[in-house]
Amino acid sequence: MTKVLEVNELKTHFFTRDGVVKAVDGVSFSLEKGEILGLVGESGSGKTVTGFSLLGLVDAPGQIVGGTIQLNGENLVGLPEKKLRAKRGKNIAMIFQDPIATLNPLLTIRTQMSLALEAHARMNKREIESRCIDVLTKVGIPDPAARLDSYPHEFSGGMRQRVAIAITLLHSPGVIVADEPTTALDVSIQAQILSEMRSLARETGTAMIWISHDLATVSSLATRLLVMYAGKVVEEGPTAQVLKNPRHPYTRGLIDSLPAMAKPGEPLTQISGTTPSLLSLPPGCPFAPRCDRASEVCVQDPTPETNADRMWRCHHPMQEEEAVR
Amino acid sequence: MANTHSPLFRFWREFSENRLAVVALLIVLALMVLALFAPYIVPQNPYDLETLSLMDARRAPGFIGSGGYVHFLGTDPQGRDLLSAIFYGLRISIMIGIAAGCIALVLGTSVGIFAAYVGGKIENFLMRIVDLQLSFPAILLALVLVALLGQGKFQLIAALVAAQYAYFARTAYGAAKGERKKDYVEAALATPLSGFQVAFKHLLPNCMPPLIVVATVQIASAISLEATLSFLGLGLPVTEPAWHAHFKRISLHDERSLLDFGLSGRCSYYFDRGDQHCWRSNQRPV
Amino acid sequence: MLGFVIQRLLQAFLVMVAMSVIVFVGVYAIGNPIEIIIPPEATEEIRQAVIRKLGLDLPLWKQYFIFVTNLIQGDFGRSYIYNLPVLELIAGRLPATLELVLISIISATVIGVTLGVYAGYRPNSIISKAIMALSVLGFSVPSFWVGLILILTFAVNLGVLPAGGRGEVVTVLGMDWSFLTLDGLSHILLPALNLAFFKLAMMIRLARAGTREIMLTDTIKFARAAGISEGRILRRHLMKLISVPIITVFGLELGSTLAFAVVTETIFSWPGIGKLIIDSITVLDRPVMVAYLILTALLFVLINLTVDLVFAMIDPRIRAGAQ
Repeated sequence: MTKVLEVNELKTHFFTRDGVVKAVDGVSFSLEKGEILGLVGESGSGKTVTGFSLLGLVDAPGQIVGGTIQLNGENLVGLPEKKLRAKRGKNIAMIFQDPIATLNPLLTIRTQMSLALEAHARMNKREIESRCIDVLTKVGIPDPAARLDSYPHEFSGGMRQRVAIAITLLHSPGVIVADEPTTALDVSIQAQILSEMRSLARETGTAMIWISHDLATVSSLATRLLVMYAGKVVEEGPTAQVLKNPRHPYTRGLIDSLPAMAKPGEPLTQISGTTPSLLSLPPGCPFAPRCDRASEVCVQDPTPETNADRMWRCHHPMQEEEAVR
Repeated sequence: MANTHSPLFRFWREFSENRLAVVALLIVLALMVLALFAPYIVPQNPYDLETLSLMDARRAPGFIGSGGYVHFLGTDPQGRDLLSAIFYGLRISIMIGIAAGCIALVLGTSVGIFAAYVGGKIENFLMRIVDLQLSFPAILLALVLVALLGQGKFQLIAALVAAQYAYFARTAYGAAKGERKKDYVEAALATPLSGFQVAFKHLLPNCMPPLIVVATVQIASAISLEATLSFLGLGLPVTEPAWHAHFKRISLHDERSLLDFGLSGRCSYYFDRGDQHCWRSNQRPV
Repeated sequence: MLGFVIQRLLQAFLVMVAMSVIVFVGVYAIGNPIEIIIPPEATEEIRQAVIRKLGLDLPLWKQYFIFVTNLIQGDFGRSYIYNLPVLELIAGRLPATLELVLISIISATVIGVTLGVYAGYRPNSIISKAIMALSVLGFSVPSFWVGLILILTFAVNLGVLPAGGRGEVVTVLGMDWSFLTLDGLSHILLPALNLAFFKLAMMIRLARAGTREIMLTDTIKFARAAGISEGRILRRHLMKLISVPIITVFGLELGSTLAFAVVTETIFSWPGIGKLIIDSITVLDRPVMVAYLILTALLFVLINLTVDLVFAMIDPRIRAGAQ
């Protein structure tokens, strides 16, 4: 399999008035053609910033301060804005959480799609129209030719997100970063879009990074999981293995708190405490204060351990026999 | 951690970071002090006709008059010391601005919150009037009112209040309407508190932030409006030299007065932090 | 869309009725015009005759009815001072005010939005800071002071531009216009600058605040993520999004510019309706005051109506809501 994206030791820091926030602090992963990678973590864990970093769209005062992002073998970090823009939308695209906020309410779908198309291709009106109809059909918009001149408010929430997805598909990018694209939608529509995205990835070979706080959604879609906590990847591995046999206590906490995992009548387990402020992280393992397995060694930074295609970053990893209850 | 500080402290920290705002605040404070202590600072009371002498009229800056003191800015055609007149005028300008602003604040806020609280036909009626008035520029309204009511301090304040209360009413109404729907208001209504107690104890404090922004802008604009009316000859009678009334009489060649006068504009530097708010309130609800 | 227009027209009509009542009560019912029209030495018979002739012995509602009937027929009465039909008087002076106001607000909007978008797009550049300093100045300094300083600088000290008057005019469509001649343009420059200054400051702030807010939205991020160039994002996405509040304010400010023309026209002796109303207020020429107020109200209503309609054209959501 060919690697389309390889991220190595990515560091994105925010230089705020109150200090440096290390939102992404040494994240590494790689993505193969057609693969769907799930990026899971609580809010504030740095998963969205990771997504924006990949496209070079980190807003000030944030800045990529280290690491490499190899897209088809070319490092994007430090690339001039003009060259980055030539990649955005064409080789790597992004879908956002809220379709109401992403689409411009005052422009027709046709205008918005043409703008995105013309960013990377010279096309005449007819070519633009046929390409638009093409992708709208692909994402399941009924009667796309007629809907081209509609405004976003004339679509339902799910349809709107499909339009947004269609815009990202215009140039058939090799990688799509999807930042919680189904969170704002109804559950039934969520399921539809998930299954459509899965078949899209399979048909077109587009690789996806699916960012979500919802382990359940991601695990139904992703082949590999990346669990982030306080800007660091704490565990990585094939979805089935990670779910069945988590090595990091945080991952186990996430799995345990899934309602589907609880036995009827038993209270839901939850991870005690709250996400630490990225401004005042404890020394060593950031999860230590919330962890029931923490000991003195946890003030030291845990070094990542690997085993086959799994990775975890913990001084006291769960053992094989300590499977999920 | 940032959020452990009191809101006032955070406001101050943000405010003090804007150097222009701090300088402006200092200027405003200095002007307030000057206005308050004018009788102790300047040598002459410009209202006291007995101390005026036509012998001293139209003198250049630095002239030592019959009073035995230096006229730093010279004198006007009645022999008034211009520096004294400016400081005394400052008193009236600030007084009228603050009085009109505060009365308009109380009146407008009451109308707005009352309308949002009672709802129904009264709400519609009150807010239609406010909207109608808002579509009409304040200066024109004040102009007509002064023309009708005649000249004088109280007429001027009344005209300014009538011209400005609508801004407060609209702001308070908007904020209260938003707050009214929130759960805490419903919860408060479930207690034995009367409706009006809820409106003023619970709604009002939560409507304050936008009102404060509008108030700072409106007090500045009241001062400026008063100045403009005086300039047009519709402000205070000439016997009471508000800052700008005596200004109208001076010739254009009297450059120094023009420059002194420019000070007045700076009052509003400080009052100028409401952009974001203006932007929002300018967007019509969809 | 048609229902929307009818609804707005109806509203506009109601506003005009309300305005006519307020103006009538305000100007006619407060104070007694007799004392101004008739010299104090006039005999009682003459007094009575004039009162009857003006219809001032009739009950108030009847007076109002006559007032409105005359209004609808375009009869605003005669000016006490000029002894001319008021409408004629105003019509003769309207072009001067219109050209001044339109030139001011259009240039203020075009320049202000350009500068404001720039300042919002690059908030930390030195040019942006200079733009914002300019706008603070425009907001803080009273308009008449700016006018006087302009005269002092350009007319008195430098002597490059005239201090007042309209200069040479050209008659087009039966009305006199200054902006079509070079001399007229040189006359209109200072008053227009004076009148535009505050609006410019306002447009700068509005455009800047809007730009800053919009540039942080997901709409812009999504457009950037699609690789659209910054120039096109600004021209196509931002300008469209920002136009809604700008047009509202443009409409509202058109009215207030008209009102502030009163000040500018007084300073620059610009023979427009603003100067006329100030003169009328000082000499209590009531028919002129009434006509001015009614016509301004009408103008405002028309402006607001236009703004609403333009709004519906720009924002499809409003169009949908109105249907």
